[in-house]
Amino acid sequence: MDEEAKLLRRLKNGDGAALEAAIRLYTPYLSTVLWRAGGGGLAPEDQEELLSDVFLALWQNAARLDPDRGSVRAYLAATARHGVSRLLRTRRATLSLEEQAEHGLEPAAEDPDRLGLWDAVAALGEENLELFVRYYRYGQSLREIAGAMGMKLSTVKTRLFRGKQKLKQSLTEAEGSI
Amino acid sequence: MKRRDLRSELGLPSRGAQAAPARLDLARIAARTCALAAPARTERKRITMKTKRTIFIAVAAVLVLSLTALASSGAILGISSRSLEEEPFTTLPTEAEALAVLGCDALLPERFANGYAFARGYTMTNRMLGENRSVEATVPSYTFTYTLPGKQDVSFSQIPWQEGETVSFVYGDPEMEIDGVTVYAARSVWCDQWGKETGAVSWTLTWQQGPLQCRLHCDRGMEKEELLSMARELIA
Repeated sequence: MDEEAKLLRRLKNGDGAALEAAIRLYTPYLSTVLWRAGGGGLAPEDQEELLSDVFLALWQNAARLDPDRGSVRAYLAATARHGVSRLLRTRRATLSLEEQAEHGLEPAAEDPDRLGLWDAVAALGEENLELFVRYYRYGQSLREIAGAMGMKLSTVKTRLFRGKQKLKQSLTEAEGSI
Repeated sequence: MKRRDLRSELGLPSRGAQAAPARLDLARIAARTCALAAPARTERKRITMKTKRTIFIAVAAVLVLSLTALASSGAILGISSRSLEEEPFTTLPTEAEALAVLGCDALLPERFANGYAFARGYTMTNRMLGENRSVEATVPSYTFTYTLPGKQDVSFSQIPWQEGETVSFVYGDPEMEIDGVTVYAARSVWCDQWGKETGAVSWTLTWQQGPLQCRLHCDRGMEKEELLSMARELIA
């Protein structure tokens, strides 16, 4: 039985420690999901509240989740994306344009920093984005990342090294052309 | 947590604040989720059992006033806390400032006998959540961090609270009584990412003192007796 299946079984048994383990395991990944789904415009506090709701849904629905039909990770990502779209829809419907700007709901293209470093990281692919977020934003060790993402330690090192090479090349070219 | 700067590692010039995936506070997410996840009555029982069976996972940050809010009635199911200020303050508030924020006299210790000294503090706003997670009320609180070189930080939180309120931050097993104030202790065991215990232990002390509920906490590395002696100084 893999680690995710064990975690799901513990959640189904109402093990509160498993819920907190899930929060620590999946939050870095889900922060990339929120960043992409929200266009980088959601405040951290909003993201934290959204993720609380996502993990609450996992807790309440664990008994109904079938690992053969989809992973916990996929369930959480889908729930998070749904939460973001609901939040943005509500805000756009109820806030004035000025208030929307305050909440970071302005069109992303108007912010020059949006086309920056982390967009380039995102262009490396979803898995690499998660790896970079875990390493650079959450300060996780290579070993922790390998465990959380189900990769070999050597794979994590290689991806990080190659990813940085690609980033350096693409960003140096991009900044040189401005 | 180790801070790494991708841009500088790539040898690229700094461009100020950049849009990046947020580094979210796992403690706050865990606190809010736990507060919402468990009905109040069962939560009280679960935490009492936790202190005996040590099954609880502690999380690193100490800004959040409480990991789980307990309620004795079903009216308020949880508490959501968030910082009111981006940056912490680095000098203790005066008595007048504290009175203005909390609405009552606060405990403002500069230093403890074991050498821990005030380093920084936050004002938090705590939202009382009802059945549908509607905000029933908001209550301010202070969280102060005390440091001692080479030792783990200690956090001290206080929130104005009337005895007998439906929700309480006080939890754990009764540990000692001073001048009619009962101090409760809760033990937390640190686990790895899959929930296996690592052997590291944290202690949290909570008590009701006059118009305040207080919480003293240290993440690993401090014996319960030392934390209790700090609580004694606050209560005496």
